[in-house]
Amino acid sequence: MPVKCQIRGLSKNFGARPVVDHVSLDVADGEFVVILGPSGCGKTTTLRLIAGLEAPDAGTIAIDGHLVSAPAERLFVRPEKRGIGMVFQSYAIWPHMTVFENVAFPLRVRRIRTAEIAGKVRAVLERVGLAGESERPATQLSGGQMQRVALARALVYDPALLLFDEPLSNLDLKLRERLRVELRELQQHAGITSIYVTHDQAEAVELADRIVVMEGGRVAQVGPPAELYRRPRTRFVAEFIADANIFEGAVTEHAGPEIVRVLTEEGRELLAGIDRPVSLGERVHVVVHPEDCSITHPHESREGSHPVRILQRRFQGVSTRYTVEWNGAAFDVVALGTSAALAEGAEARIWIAPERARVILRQDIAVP
Amino acid sequence: MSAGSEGVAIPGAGARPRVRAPTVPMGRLMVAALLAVLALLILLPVAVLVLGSFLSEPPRALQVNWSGLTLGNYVEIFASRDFAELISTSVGVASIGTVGALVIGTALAWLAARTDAPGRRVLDAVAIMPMMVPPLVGGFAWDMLASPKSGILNIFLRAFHLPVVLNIYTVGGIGFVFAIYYAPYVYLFAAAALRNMDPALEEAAALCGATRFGTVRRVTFPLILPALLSSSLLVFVLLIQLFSIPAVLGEAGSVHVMSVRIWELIGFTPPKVNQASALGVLMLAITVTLVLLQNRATARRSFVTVAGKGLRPTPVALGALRWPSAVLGFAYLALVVLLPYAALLFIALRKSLFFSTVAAMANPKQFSLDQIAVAVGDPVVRLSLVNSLLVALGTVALGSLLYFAVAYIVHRTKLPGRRALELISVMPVAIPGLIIGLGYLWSWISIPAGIYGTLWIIVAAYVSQFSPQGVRAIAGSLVQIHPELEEGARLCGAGFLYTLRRVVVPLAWPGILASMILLLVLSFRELATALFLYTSDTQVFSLTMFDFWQRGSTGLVAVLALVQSAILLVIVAIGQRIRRDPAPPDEGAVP
Repeated sequence: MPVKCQIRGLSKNFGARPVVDHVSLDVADGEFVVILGPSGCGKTTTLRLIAGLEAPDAGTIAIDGHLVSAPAERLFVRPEKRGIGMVFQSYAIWPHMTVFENVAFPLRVRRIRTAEIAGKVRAVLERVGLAGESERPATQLSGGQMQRVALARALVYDPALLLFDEPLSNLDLKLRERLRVELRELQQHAGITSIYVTHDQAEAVELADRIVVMEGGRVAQVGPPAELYRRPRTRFVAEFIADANIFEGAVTEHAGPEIVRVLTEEGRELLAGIDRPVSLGERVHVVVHPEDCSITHPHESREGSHPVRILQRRFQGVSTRYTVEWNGAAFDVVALGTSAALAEGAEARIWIAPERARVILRQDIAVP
Repeated sequence: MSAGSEGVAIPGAGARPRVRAPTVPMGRLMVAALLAVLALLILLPVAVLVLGSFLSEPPRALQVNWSGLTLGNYVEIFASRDFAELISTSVGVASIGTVGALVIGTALAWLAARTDAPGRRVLDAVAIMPMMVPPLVGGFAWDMLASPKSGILNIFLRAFHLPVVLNIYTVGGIGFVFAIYYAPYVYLFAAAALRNMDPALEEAAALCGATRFGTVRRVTFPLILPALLSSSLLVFVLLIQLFSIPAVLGEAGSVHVMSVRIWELIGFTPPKVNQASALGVLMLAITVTLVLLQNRATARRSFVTVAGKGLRPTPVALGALRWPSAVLGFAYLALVVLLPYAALLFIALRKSLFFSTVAAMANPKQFSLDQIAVAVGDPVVRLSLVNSLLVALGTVALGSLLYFAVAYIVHRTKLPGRRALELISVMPVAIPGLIIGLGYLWSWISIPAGIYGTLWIIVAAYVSQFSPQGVRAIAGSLVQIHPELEEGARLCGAGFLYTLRRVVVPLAWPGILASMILLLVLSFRELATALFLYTSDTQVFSLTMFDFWQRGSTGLVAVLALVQSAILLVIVAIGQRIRRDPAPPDEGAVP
């Protein structure tokens, strides 16, 4: 796949503080990339740098092989010349125009004939599910409708790249989930390259072909959602992408190909998968997602399972979350299903598949 | 924001977006140009005035006789026989006016905001109405109402055999007129502070056992004290520089103040421009000091009175005092608006102005439209009306453009130099209009660019004088526009100017309109700023009125005062009308 957007060594400081710090990223044609991170991690600034709403201090951005930002060459293409579409967090729907006028705006700027504009606007409004709403004043729209207008406005001129800045964060949960599905369908149907910024990992996992996790202005890890889930490279990524039990221990044995045995300070002993070579005695972190464990009655003992005692049980609808005591420390386990079989205070056993427990190096930001 | 690059023209940017950023960004050029314009409009006149106050010769084209540098003007001012009296009178009338405005403004604000006085909603509108009455017109009206011999009120007092004679030509009388016309400034500050106050603070005092008026005295009043302090300083600054009211009411009773003295010094033959400038610099020093003090008072207003939103304070029940309070409120309206305009109308419609009894006043034979006919037929009246309208329109056109550019750069960009722009644009808050006029007189006689003696110099002086109000009004609506609305347009492919035209200006239109209406009103009624800048061809309407008054044509003055007020009323009414039905300036909403 050809590269649609190429970012190399992108940096931006606000005053003395680096907000975006040597970020590099290739986005393939038609790909949906989600930049995920907590507030202040530099994800929105990265997006604004791509859009041309901020000028970088260092690094380059190229779209379709043409440089659009390259401070070293004193090159900066203004946002309106980049051919990018963007959906803003606030929607940025102009309140003094109708739905039609909002969507027609980019076409008018491009001096497209009036007859053609009407056709294109109608088509795109239909695509986003707003057929028949074109004469509504923008001020009378609901949040979800504004979101659709914003999307229509960004799509109507077939931009090279579509940017999203937390577009669903101001909507309620139900609507957010529905729009997520629609958005993904629309993007795949149109095959439009998209970069989407969010702090919501559920959104990221559902939408993304690849997720870029950012922390402190840097890229912590890039990969498909499942890979980030299965093989987090840092504790930060592991915790951010999903709930995780994380504990410290030392490597005691190479137990198989890419499998080591780890002994924790509490005396827990378990097998865990590794991504890179570790030496015996090395202190590492181990990540275990609560839903990757199975919990059973103590008599259903199984090879390699661990005895625990149930401290707390929380019913969560389609699953049950247990907090158990495992060698004197708390550990979370999620069991799917609507029947909660085990009672608080009861003895139980947990079992963790060796490749589901992951060893990560003891540092919060991966070595690039 | 992409502020640094906005307004940058990249020539030939086509389908292949590979363009070099220009070495001199347009944004910076724009800031530099605006700084130069503001310096020329605001800093230069003041600088030249200060220089002039140290020279021994009046201003001459392109010549400064540096050997004439002297402190003599100041010495002469300080050593003049009545200097101490001049200063004490100026400070005295301004102080009386300030205290009076403080009492009236605070009382009205409390009645309107925190009590169950009947008609308090109407009171809210009424309390700021005096702002619509030009001070010059108020001065004329009170001259007609309360001059000791022929004042209409005194005639009535005599008719009822009351042993009281009102004398408006005194320090107390002028202070009274000051107070009633400047109370709305205090009202605005005090009412806002009272409305924002957390009612729990008062309720807590009540629960602690304080009486209703004990609460007001020991909790409410101390909490709004910073707002009161700040507004009184503002009112004092406005009053110490005010020219129109003391010029009309002061001379008859020998109440001399600085602003009028400056004007008299210029009116001398030969004109004592240098001494006038020295006195002007002294006045400037006073106003600048007070404005700096006021800024500090406002900055430190940190009593936490603003609490959660939506808290409706329980109105204080006035009980038996309800109606007297309401009557008091409306008596104020009568003093400031109704009585003066009744007097003006009465005088305007009278044949002879010699009357000394109520019976003579009521004589129907004396009513006529003669004065109106004279006013309409007078070419000077017509010329100055046209001049005033031209000046007002010119001020609105040039001022709005300048103020918008400044407000946009200050509030919507991160361009270097924007703080300096902001600072210079608010400076005229501390520069009396009279001083701006005097500075323009010096600079544009010294620089023979052919501007002196035209309407343009008056427009330029007004644009300088009103820049703080103009910039603030536009900035207020600009900051309410979410930056993403603008960024969205840029990403849709619109250039900077197109975005400005189709998105920013339509959205900021209510604020721009409000600023334009304000500018029209202020520049149509302004007197002091134009005082030293007009010629017989460029006389403005307020000056014509003032001129007629000096010549004793009281009837004509009344007619013109009514005409001016009527025009101002029409301007404001049109503004209100447009604001209620806001139409963007271009085809915005039409497909």
